[in-house]
Amino acid sequence: MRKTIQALLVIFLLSATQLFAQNTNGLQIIIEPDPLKFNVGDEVRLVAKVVDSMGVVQPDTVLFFSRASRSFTVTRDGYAKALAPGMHTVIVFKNAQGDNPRMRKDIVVDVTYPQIDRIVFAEIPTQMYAGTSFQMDAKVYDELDFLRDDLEVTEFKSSKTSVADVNRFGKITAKKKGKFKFTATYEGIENSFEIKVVDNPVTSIEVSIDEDLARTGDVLHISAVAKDKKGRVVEDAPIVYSFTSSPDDNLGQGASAQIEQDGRFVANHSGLYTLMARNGGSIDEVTVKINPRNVARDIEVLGNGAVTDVATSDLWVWEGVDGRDYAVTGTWGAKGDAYFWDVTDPTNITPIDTIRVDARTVNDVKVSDDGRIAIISREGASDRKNGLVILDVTDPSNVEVLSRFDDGLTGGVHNVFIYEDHVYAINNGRKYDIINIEDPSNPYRVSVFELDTPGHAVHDVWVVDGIAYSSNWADGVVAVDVGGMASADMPGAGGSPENPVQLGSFTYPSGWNHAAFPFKSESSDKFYIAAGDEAFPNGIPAGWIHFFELDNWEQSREVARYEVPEAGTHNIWIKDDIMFVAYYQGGLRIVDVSGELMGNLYDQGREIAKFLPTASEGIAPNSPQAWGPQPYKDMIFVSDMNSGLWALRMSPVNETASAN
Amino acid sequence: MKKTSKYSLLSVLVLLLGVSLSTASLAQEKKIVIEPAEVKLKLNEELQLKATVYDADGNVTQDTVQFFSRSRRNLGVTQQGLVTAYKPGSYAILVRTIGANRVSLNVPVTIEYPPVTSVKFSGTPGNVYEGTSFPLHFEVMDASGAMRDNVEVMLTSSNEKVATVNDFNEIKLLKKGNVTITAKAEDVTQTWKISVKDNPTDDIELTHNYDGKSIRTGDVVRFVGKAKTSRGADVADAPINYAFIATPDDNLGQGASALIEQDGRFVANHPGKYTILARSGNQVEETTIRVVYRNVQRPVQVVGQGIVPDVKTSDLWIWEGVDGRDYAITGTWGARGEAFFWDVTDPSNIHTIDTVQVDARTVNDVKVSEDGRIAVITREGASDRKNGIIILDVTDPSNVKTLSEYNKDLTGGVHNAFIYENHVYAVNNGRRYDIINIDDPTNPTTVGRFELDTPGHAIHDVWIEDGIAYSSNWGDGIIAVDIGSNTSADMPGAGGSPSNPVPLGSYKYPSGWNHAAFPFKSKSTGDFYVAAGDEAFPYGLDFSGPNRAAGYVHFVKFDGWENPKEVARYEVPEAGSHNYWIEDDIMYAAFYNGGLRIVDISGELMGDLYQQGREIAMFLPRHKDAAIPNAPFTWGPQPYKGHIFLSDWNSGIWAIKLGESTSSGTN
Repeated sequence: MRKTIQALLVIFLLSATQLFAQNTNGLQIIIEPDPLKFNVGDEVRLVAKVVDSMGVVQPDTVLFFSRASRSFTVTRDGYAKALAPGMHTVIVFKNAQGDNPRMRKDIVVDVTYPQIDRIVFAEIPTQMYAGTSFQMDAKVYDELDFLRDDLEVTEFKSSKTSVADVNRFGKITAKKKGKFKFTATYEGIENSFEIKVVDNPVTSIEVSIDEDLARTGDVLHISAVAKDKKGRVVEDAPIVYSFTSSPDDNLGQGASAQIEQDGRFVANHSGLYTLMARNGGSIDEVTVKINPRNVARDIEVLGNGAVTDVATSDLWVWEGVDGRDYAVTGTWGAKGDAYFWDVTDPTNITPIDTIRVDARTVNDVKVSDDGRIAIISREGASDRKNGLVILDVTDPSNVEVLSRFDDGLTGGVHNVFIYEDHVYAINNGRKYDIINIEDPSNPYRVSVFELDTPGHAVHDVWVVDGIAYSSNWADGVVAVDVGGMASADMPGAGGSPENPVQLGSFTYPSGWNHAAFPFKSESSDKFYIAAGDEAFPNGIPAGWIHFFELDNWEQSREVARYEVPEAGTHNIWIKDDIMFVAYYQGGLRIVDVSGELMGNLYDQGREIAKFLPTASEGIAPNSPQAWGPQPYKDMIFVSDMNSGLWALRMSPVNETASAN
Repeated sequence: MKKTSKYSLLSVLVLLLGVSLSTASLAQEKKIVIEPAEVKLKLNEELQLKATVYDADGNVTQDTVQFFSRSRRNLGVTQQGLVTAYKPGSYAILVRTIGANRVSLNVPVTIEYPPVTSVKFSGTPGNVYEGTSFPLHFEVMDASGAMRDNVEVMLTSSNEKVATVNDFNEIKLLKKGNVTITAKAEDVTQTWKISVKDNPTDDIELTHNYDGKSIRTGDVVRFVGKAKTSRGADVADAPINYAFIATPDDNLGQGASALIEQDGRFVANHPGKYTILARSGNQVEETTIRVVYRNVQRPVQVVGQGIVPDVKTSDLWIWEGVDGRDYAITGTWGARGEAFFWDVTDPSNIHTIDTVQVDARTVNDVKVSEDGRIAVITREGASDRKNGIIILDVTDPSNVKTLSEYNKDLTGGVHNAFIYENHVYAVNNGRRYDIINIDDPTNPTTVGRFELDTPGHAIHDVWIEDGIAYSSNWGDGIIAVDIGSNTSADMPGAGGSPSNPVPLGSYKYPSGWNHAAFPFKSKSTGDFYVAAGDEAFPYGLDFSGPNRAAGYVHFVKFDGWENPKEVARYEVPEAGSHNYWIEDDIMYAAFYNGGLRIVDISGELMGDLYQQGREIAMFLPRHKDAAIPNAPFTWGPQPYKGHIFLSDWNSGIWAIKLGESTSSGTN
């Protein structure tokens, strides 16, 4: 499943930097035009020449690659288009040709920012109550309607400071009845409007909270009602929420809790918290006690199917047609093997068959629901015919190849998913093909799903209840109806494998989206998508799991994360409000994702258990690099790049939660 | 410098042995029966336990049993079973047979709390104003004279229209009038009569100490709210509450962003805007600040390493030799009793130049005198049980000579040592430190000794700065002792000397994991801190594989020896602290499986520094040819002449260098 294209690119570029910082025999790469300065929308041809120390142009072929393909696209032979302003990097690369060595040059192209055009306010209050505040959100746009996120308006003015003050961050504090003009200015451009301040009718605030005894990580909701002197509710009174904390441990501990301005509160540490709601001079407060979450459980290692001579990739565990339990694991950057294991006795994981295909990497392995068909993906085939291989696993000790399918898939298949007699195959990191395997000996393509955003890329796809959730790096998670069913948690749109229909997408700034897992919280009834990163800044895995809460396909909020410090996420699985996440060097993490989610779950005592898989020998001893988890029956299986396949079991819940 | 671990390594070993014994199948055949069956004691009570061992047929055997306390600071027991109750609570005693076919038993012991004799309101304000609220505090004493913090105090208000109290012992003053608050602890009560007054506060003036200055993550901003009357006069006794509203730049599910204390100190983890509120009753003043990223990160470069492939490495010391070249010494752990000498003049070419082998399993600590002529190495696990210290002549580090072996009263093992003004401070058997004069290094003599008198006390390390010894004492925390303080000391001495050590102050913390101590005066604030480091292995230790430690560095600010306050910590998640060094407001901390951490500790400190973007760099020493391959377990650092040297339990000695910051920086 999910994985590593970006990793490969990063590793390639990193190693390339070192590799090519060598003797170039006096050769240099010259780029035209010079300087590389463009306007948005410009289409140009970049030309690169290799010249020797005498200035003689060499016949070498040079290729271009954009490092910011969503902002500046370039074909391999240099046809480029400037899509967004900023400084972008293009890699110019040549292979060794004749006596000339490999070379690389990173060039920076400057796509000029258009002129600043206007200041736009997100929301304009026409009236404020005396004693209340309002935070203006002022954004700068340029002539081409690009939002200039990099610019911040810091010049704000009130025409009558006896009526209202404005601070340098644009926060208005209404002081007394009257009118004033609010003005925001940025480099000569200004926008202003008039605001009326009226007497504040609020004389009291009444707060309520859903629980006053809870656990770390539980999201509490404080709500406040503002009333006038006659006890009538003032519906439009703005309320601000804050809190004071008295954590049980007050000896230099870090930040203990957080509150949002919609009244959601969550604590990391046990202790007492006083939550306050305020409107002007009216304040009410409530104190809550937060206890430790107490969800930790022991984890027992049942067995290890050690693979220490090659890197292991993904896994799948299933019940065979004979009622025994089996697993298949892939291999990475090696000889193109997939290993089959008997895991019926997890304390004695036994290899029972090996399938070797023409590939360097068998990245993904999947088995059909009926336990009869397996699909393995191929990358790095010697004949460049990659694609996928369909296997008969009715007898996992004697696996047979039913067919190979590489039609249009020669760029490599990184991940696959089997769903209702169709294979969803990630095609060359650009799109996914939907392939009918009703007759597994004669697979055929029925459709393709591809985004149309600039520089788009896709990494993985996972199908639940007829909705395909793909992971698309900077384009985030994309939900597509491929036959949405009545049991789906969210409505479909009449799609089918032949006619995939996009439902919604969920992006976040880093652009590291590599995996996606939708789930309906069993305890809170909320629908979430867990969106996992993969990234290797400085060659070390980083990133986290992003939790999007969906009201519907159009409305969602990124509300929480699970971020293990100094480690990086890979694949995830969520079942019964428990998340199993392979966190590369951070090993396997098992996390309580019950209830509403808010903030960083890692800080909230929600970790149930962790396991660091290691081998004492082989390609990388003592180096956990957990790839993927799968809860199966009462166990958890996990594949690890450096040590193979593991079977684990959590102990029963051994502590009573302190509240709830 | 600060060191090891073996004390706790041994503890772990003992524990593991204990566990394996108690689960041995032989328990099916023999069993221990204790009399009395239920052990309940009053404070300071003594009780002789009787243990009888029966075989599978119910016959009494002749086995000898021994008793051990699982919590010897709270519950004492002799090996023969005489129990002494030091502190109320629930504990356990381990009873086990000796010799072949051992069996063991855990005996629960309860030491009862004496009855409460008094409850008093503490810190109550003189004037109490309408509209305010605050927590109430109490002093509860029991019959033993001990202050109790584990007794539930019930509060009631005589007039809930005037004041209410909640389950969390907070009082809210609703309106002007008279009210009596009654506090009840067990059967003892106390009342507080309050006359609630009109709140004269008409305005709050809110200021802070960063006005006009850039505020970065980790900077402690001190807010001061002053309550004023309508005429502008101070209302000095109006309680002020501080809170904040966070608008971090990243609002996509990020964790908690900042913290504020009720004395007005605020620190942010994340960049963004923060509105700080100061409130008294219904008067609120607020101010907004912007916090920017701290931007102190710097790249780190590996300059060289000396991989020790077959044994575990312990501490290190780097020094300039009398010939002007640079040298290092490293110890070894649980091995053949070696200390390795290295030429590190060229840190990219670290190479061994001599080895000294002594009769020991562990040479835990290594130190060199300031003049570069004398080294002291410690011995534990000697075959003849004569441990102690070895004094070496390192004038020529390629040809190190033993000057003397000193083990007078030190046979239990020396875990750590420090050389200061011709004296060696040697941690003796984990119980005390001996002060040994080495004016004549061939003829050392013990001149003084420092030992605590607390029950079950233990000591791990000692470090000396300006004539003050800072020892690390597990549950007793850090202890400062004057052994000849000089005028450059940051804190006043008390006329001590090596032969007359005089305690100055101490600080202990709940975990009891204190393993190292490093005093420093902040260059940027002038405040005096002692950084107190933990060592703990709650996940056990595997001597042949990778490991994980726990614990952190506690920052204790001293305003005089009598007034220590734990204000901050540096806690690397999922790793544990070991030794560290502080120089020029930068901390170099070895964090076992977390490698080396280099941390900006400039400015006032508050909260968890790890979360504040104060980490300048980290380095994970891992090597495929190491004693344990690819498994960082960093023991100790030493900044030296522009490089940072470190020793790593699993891999040996390393030299690294910090590069220049590549960020634009905001400070």
